[in-house]
Amino acid sequence: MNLDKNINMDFGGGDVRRLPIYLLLDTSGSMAGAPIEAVNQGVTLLYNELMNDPSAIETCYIAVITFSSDAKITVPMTELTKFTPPRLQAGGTTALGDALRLLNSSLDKDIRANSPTQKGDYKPLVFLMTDGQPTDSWERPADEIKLRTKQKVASIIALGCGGGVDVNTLKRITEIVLLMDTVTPDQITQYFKWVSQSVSKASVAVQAAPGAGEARADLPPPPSGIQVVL
Amino acid sequence: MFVYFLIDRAEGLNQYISFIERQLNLFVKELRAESESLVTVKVISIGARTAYFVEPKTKPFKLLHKLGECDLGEPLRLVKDDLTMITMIKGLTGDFVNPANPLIPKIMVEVFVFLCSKPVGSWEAYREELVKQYQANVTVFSLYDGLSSQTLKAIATSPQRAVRSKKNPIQFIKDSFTWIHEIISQPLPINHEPATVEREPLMEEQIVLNHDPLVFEVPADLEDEPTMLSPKQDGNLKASFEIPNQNPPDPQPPTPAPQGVAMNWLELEPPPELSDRVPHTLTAHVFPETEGNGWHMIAASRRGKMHAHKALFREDAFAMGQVNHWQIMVVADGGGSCPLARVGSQLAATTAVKTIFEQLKEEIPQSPTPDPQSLAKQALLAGVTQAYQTLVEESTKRQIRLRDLGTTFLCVVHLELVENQKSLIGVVQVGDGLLAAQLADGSIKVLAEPDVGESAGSTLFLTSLPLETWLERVQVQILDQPIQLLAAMCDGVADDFIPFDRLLPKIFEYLARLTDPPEPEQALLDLLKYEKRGSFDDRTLALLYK
Repeated sequence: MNLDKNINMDFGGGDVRRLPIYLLLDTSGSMAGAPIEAVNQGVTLLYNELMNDPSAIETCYIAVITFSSDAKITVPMTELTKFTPPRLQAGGTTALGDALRLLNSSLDKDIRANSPTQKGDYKPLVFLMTDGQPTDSWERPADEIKLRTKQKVASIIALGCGGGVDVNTLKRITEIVLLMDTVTPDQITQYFKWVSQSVSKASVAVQAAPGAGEARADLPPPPSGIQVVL
Repeated sequence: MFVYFLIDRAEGLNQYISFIERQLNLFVKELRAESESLVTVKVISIGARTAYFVEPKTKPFKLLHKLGECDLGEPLRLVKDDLTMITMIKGLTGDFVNPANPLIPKIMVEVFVFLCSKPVGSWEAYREELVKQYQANVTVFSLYDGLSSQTLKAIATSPQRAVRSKKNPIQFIKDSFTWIHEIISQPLPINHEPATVEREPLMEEQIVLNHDPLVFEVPADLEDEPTMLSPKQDGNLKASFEIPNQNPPDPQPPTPAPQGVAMNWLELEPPPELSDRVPHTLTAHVFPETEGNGWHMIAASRRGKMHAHKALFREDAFAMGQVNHWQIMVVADGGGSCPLARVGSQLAATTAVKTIFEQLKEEIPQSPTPDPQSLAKQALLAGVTQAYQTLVEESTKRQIRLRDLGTTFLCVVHLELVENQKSLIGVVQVGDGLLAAQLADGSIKVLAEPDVGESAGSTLFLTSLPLETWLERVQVQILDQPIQLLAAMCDGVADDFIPFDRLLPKIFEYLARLTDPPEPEQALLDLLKYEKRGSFDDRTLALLYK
C-alpha cells in the first residue's frame, strides 16, 4: 500500500451545516427614538458577540425581517462574517401578520433539510421582538408558523416589550414568550446579549442534542427585568 | 516591565483580529509561564469612543469587533494614566531616568500598536508625553496599505519599530509576536555593554531587512532614513533588536486555513477540579493473532476544537479486541450535553468489548461446531446488555441521572470465512456516526442505519430508550466476499463526509493509505487533525484491515 502519510484531506466541497438565525424586529412608530436606537445597537452588539465565538463564525447565518406598515427582508440570510448590522428607522403601524408570512416563506426558501444527498441545516432560531398589537390580520400566519411540523421547523422566541403587548397574541405563535415590562435602552441591550448567549449555546448544543423530539430550545435564563411567560 | 498592546478594532481588520487575539492569548500564556512577576501585560482596544483595558490574568480574553474610528489619542492617554498610577503605587517619583546610569530607565515600557486603519484625532501630544516621561518604546505594526510611512514613523519611536505586512498578514502577525516575545524577554543587557551603543543602529537596520523580506517590509522612505536616536533609546533598542537576528522566525509557511474556518479557536486545559480526566488524544493498535496474514485494528481519538475552546475533555471513546479470529471494535461518542459523557462512552465501549471477547473466547464443547452467525448474535446481545447495565449501575453508584452518561454506541464484530471467501459481520448501532466496510471488489457498504433526525444535530443515546430497543437492532450478515477495510467512526468524522455517496469513497481512499507500518495509528491520529469549516466535534475512528 501507499506510503504517503502526509495526507491533505480534501472534502470535494462537502457542505457545512448552517445555524440560521432570524431577527424579526418591530420598527413601528412607537419604537421611534431611544428604543429603535437601542435595537440598532443591540443588533451590532449581537454581531460583535457572535464574532467572538468561533463556532458561531463557522455556522451562523443571520437574516433580519423588519415590520412596520408592512414587512420586508432588511437583510437576507447572510453568513455571519459578511453580515453588516442594518440601521433601522421607526415609523408606521405594526404588520406582524405580514412579517410572519414573510418568515414562513423565508423558512421554506432558505432552510436545507437533511437528506441522503444534502447536509441539512441546524434547527433555525427565530427571535421576534414587538412592542404593540398587530394592526393587520395575523391569526392565520401565526397558526401556520406554529403548525410547522415537518422539515423546516424552527425554535421561535418572542419578546413582548412594554405594556402594549398582548401576551396571548405571542402565545399563539410560539411556546416561548418573554416579556420586558419596562422598555429601556439598557434592557434592550441586555436582551440582545441574551440572544447572543442563546445562539452560542445553540451552536454548541447542535452537536449534542439530548435525543429526538425535544420540545424547547435549550436557552440560558433571561436577564433580570425580562420574564418568561408560562 | 510594562507591556501595552494597542489593537485597532475599527473597520477593516475582520478576520485578522481573531488571529491577533489568539496569538496574543498564546503569547500571554507563554509569558506567564516564563516570567510571571516581571512583566505586566495590558491590552487596549482602539476604536471605541473610550478605550478600555483587557487584563489577561487567568482567563483568555476577548475583544469587541468592529468598533468606531481609530482614535489613537485615547488609548495612549490611558497608557500614560496607567503608568502614572503604577508609579504612584510603587512609590516611584520624579522622572524616570536612572541617575546611576542614564542609559537604563527605571521601568521598561513597551507599547505595541497594531493598526488596520488611519488614526484619527490628535494623538501626537499623548505619544510625546508617554515617550518623554516614561521613555516608552513604541512599535507599530501596520496591516493596512493605506497608512503612509510618515504616519508610521510618527508613531514609532524609531524607524525600525515601524513595520508593515507585505504579502501574508497571517504570517506577519505570527512573526510579529515571535519578535515581540524576543524583545521583551531579553534580559536587559544594556548596562553591561554601553560601548556597543555606537554600532547598534547599523545592526538594527540589517535585522529588520533580513527579517524575511517577504513578510516584513520597512516602508521605503524609512529605510534610507538616517537613524536619529538618542543614546537612551539606543540602549533600549539594542535589547529589542538583537535577538531576532539570531533566531529568525519559523521559516515554515503557515498552513492556509480552509475557507471559513474561524481563527479564534483557543486550546485550553480543563480546570483541575474537573473529574474523570482523559487524555486529549488516544491511539491504539491491535496486532494480528498470527504473524503475517492476520487482521490489524487501529484506532485514534482526538479532542475537538469546541471542547478545547471550552476547556473541556474529549467525550469520545473506543475499545477493540481480537480472539479466535474474531475482531471486535466499538466506538462511542459521549453526548456533549451530558456532564459525564466521557465516563459513559468509555464504560460502554470497554464493557461491550470485554463481554463480547469473553463470549467468543469460550471453547464450546458441543458438536457440531456452533454456527458462527448465532455465536456472533449471542455475543453482540450480551455486549449491548452488559454495556447498558454498566451505565445503569454507574449512574446509581455515582447518584446521577442515567442520561448524564449519554453516549452513542457503534459496535461491530468481524470473522473472515477463509475457506469460502466470505465474511461475517455483526453490528449494532445506537445514535449517529457510521459503520462502513470496503469490500474486496472495492465497493463500499454501510453496515447499519445511523439515527439521524430530520433537523440536524439530534440523535439517540444508549441511555435514551430501554435496552430492548437496542437488542432488536442486533444484525448479523454474511457478505459474499471478504472485506478490505472496515471503519467505525463517530459523528465528528462521519458528518464531514456527507453526502456519503460522494464522499465515503474518499475517506476509504485516505484510510487505505494509512495501513503501512510502522505507526499507522499515529498516522490516523494525524489524519484526524484535518481542518474543515463547521467541524469542531471530537473525532474518533477505528479501522480494521489486513
